[in-house]
Amino acid sequence: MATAAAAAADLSAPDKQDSALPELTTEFMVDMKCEGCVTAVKNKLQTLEGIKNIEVDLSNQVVRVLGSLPVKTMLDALHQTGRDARLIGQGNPNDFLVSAAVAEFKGPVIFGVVRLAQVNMELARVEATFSGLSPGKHGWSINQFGDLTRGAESTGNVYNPPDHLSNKPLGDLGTLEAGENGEAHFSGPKEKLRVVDLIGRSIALYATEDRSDPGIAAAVIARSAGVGENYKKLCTCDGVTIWESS
Amino acid sequence: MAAQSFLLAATATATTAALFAAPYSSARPFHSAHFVAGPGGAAAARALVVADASKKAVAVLKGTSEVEGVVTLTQDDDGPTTVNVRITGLTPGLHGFHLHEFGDTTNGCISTGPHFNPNNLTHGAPEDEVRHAGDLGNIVANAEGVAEATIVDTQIPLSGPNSVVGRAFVVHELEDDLGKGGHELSLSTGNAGGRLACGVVGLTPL
Repeated sequence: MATAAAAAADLSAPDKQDSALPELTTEFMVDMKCEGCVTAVKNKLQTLEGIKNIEVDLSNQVVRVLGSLPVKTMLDALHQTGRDARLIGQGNPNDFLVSAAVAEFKGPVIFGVVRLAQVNMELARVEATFSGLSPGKHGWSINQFGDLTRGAESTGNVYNPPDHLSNKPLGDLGTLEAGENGEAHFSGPKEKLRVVDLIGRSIALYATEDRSDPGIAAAVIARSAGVGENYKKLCTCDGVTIWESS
Repeated sequence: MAAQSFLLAATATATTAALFAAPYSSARPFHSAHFVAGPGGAAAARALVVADASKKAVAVLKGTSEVEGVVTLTQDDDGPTTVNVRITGLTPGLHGFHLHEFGDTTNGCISTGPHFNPNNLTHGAPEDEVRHAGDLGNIVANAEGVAEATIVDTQIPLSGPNSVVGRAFVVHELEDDLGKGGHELSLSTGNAGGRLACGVVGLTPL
C-alpha cells in the first residue's frame, strides 16, 4: 500500500496508515456453492493480518468480515480463491442512522469508488480507488452539492459545516498521488466526519493539487447498504442476480 | 444537510451569522450572497429563512445502454415534491420509474436495492394507499424515445428521516403493472424488468 501512504500526506494520521484503520464489519457476496468453498474462503481470509472475525452464510452466499483491513485487500484475497466477490454492505456493530456511503466515478476517463463508513461519532473511514488519472498529484475533496448536471463544475465549494472551526475545511481530503499507471489508492481514518451529513453531496477530483479551477470529475455521495441490509433483497429485485449485473 | 444548517444559522444572532460565514470565505457563490445582500445581520437571516423554505435536488441518470436523463426535484416547506423528468434513448412506450432504497451503483443499477419502502408495504400505483414510497408509476417515451414527465408526490421528501437524497432513480425496461398484473413479481417490482439507467439524487444549490 505504498500509494496509500503517499496519498495520506494531508489526512489525519499518515503515520498510522492501514494498521490504524478503524475496525468495521464488511459484508461481501461471494460465489460459493459448497461447504468446501466456505472452508477455502475462510482459510484464505485467515492468512490476512488485521481480521478479527469471519462469518460465512452459505445459503445467502454472504461472507461477513470484522477487521481493520482495507476493502481492496480483502477483495483481492477473495478473488485469489478464484471466486467472484462483491462488497454489499459495510457498517459498525453499533447502530447509526446512516453508516455507509459510496460515491462512484463512472468515467468515461476517470473511474473510481470512494467508500465512507462511520466508525463512531467522531470518526469515519475513507477508502478510495481511482484509475484513469494523469500521473502525479491531484487534490480531492468533499464538495457542498451533488449536482452533476455540469460535472464537477456544479458541485459548489469544499464542504465545511458551520460548527467546524478550523482553517482547513472539513471536506478537504488533501492530495492523491496517481502512479504511472494512472491509479491512486487511499485508505485511512478521517476525524469529525459524519457520514449522514455527506449524503447527497459529492466527491470531486482536481487536475492538480490546486483546487481553484473546477474539478475534472465528481460523483454523488450516495446511501449504501449497512451490514445485513442488502443481501436478502438483491436476488428478489428483478430476478437478476448480482453476478449478471454488470 | 445544508438546509438544516441554514435553519440554525437563520435563528441565531448576527454574531453567529458572521462566524458562520467566515470559514466559507469569499469563494462561495451561492450562500455568501445572502450576507452581502442584506444591510445587516437580521436582514441576512430573513433572506436565509426564505431560501430555506424550498429544497432542490437533482439526479443524472446513466446506464449501460443509450438511456440517459436528468431528474430534478423541488419541495417547498413540507409540501409535496415536484419531480421533473427527461429521459432519452428509451424504446417508445411505458417504462417503470421508481426511487430505489440505495444510491449505490457499484454493481450497476442492481445495487440500488429494492424500491424505497420505509413503511414496509407492497408495490402499487402512485395514487394507491398501499404502495412503496418509491413507486412513481410509469413514464411514457414518445416515438423518438424521449420521456418527459412532471410528477407531484407526497411520499418522497427532500429532508428528514425519509429523505430521498442519496437514493437512486431507476428507469426500467418494461411497463410497471402497478401491482395489479398477477405476476409473482407484481407486488414487489411491478414486473418492470431490468434496470436501464439509474442516478443518485444529489443536493443542488437553491
